[in-house]
Amino acid sequence: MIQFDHVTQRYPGGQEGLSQVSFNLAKEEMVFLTGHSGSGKTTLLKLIALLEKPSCGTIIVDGRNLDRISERHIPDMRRQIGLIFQTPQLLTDRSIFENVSLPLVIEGYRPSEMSRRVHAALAKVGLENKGGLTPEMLSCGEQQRVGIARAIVSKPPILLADEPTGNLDPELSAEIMRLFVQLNQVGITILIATHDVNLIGTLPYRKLTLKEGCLINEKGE
Amino acid sequence: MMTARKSLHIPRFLLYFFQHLQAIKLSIRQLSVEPLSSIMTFAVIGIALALPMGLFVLLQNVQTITHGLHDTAQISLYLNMNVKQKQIDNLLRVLQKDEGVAQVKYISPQEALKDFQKQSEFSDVLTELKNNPLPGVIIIKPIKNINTRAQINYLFSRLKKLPLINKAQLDMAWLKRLSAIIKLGNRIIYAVMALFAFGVLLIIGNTIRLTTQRYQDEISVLKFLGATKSFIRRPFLYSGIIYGLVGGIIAWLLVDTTMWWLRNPAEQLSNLYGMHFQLQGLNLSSTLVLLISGSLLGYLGSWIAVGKHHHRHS
Repeated sequence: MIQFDHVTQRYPGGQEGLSQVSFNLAKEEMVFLTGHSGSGKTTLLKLIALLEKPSCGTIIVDGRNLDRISERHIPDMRRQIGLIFQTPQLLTDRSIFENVSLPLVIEGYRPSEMSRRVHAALAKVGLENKGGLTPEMLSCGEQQRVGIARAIVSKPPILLADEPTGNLDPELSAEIMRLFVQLNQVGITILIATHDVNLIGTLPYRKLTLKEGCLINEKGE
Repeated sequence: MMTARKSLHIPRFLLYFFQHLQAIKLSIRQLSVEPLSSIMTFAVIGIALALPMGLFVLLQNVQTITHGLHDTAQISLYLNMNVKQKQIDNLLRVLQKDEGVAQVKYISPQEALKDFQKQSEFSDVLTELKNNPLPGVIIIKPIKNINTRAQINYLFSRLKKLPLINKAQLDMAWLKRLSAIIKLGNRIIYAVMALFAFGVLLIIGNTIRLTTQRYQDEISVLKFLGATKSFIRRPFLYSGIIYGLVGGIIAWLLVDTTMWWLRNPAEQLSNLYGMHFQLQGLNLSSTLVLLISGSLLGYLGSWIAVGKHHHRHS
């Protein structure tokens, strides 16, 4: 589903965010991307989400070479990927329902279908009765779950999460991880970047470890 | 699979209207976040549009007055001395049949002398004269359709060639000067209009630039979620159009209220000059031009601002 072939990302000034990174992520697989802060986890996710372009190397996502995607078609590609951030980046002047429905509004879904999907996504993250509230009325954990609901509402085949539990306590973090496991079980390919090794230690999923931009360990468990 | 997916989406032709409707709603929401600031911007745009529009309307009114003055233009035809009454009657008949002439008035030498005696301080001296030195005069009033300087000049040169006419007179110098002043005024107003239009463009552009900065987080989120540039740009474009349109409405209200306020004094003044003149406000076509220009300026200003924002963040 996601294929990196000798991908290097060099920033102005010559500093390398990623160096010769190669790996494969199969369809419906869930993989953890670990490493210290500044190791290149976020850079790797940004490359997949077309928020940055690699200096060299090839990235193939869902059979499409990202290098050959024109600027005009980048939004189409981004709609195939659900993005989850450390801070959920919700729009504070909109209700939870409106926040979650944003990807569907962009895609032009029928209002009836939109309503059905938003309610289903909110139910999936356990917030079915909070659609009318605004983000400020929710706790950090609930806001993160809204972010996940927004990412999955259009049923994208790929989900990328950048430190999704970074701001949460251990109990909430475990709850969010259980949610990712459930999503993976329904067939979504998931790549989660986290530096919290304790949280993922016991989970039976493959882990990719980055150190100073290089992939130093790829082991399946 | 494809049919099932299609049925989930709004049909393409409806989607266009649906997304524009949503963009309008969103732009109204953006404007209502800081109502006082929005109202002040509307007012500034309104005043900036009202000033050149007000001058334009005043100039149009001045042009109406000068048209009226052309209507009152008179041609004086001085006859040769010692012309017989029968010849004069024939000439008057010819003039009355002329298609360019509305009114013909003959002042005989005797009537002219009498009037002159009344108005002159030397009435005693004039009574002592053995012969009347004044010629008969025919005063011609052109028809209403002859209201431009060129038309009046043509009529004047035609009448002056008639037999029995010794001299013809038409005082047009002041009308020429007035015409030149109006032409200059027109040019000045167009320059002022262009200057203020540029000002409105800058005001709206800057306002939308600040709005895009305030909504930077939202723009980023929409980009992550796969929104196209046009989807992101649309609400800001509508905000620009709304700024221009509401500014235009305010300008129209300001100009029309001012004209209404000046109407009575202007009418009184024109009456003192023996004219009937009513100050006119913006007519329908000028109002439409004002509203469309305001909206277009808003659209253009926001297009430039959002384009620059996209370019900076791409």
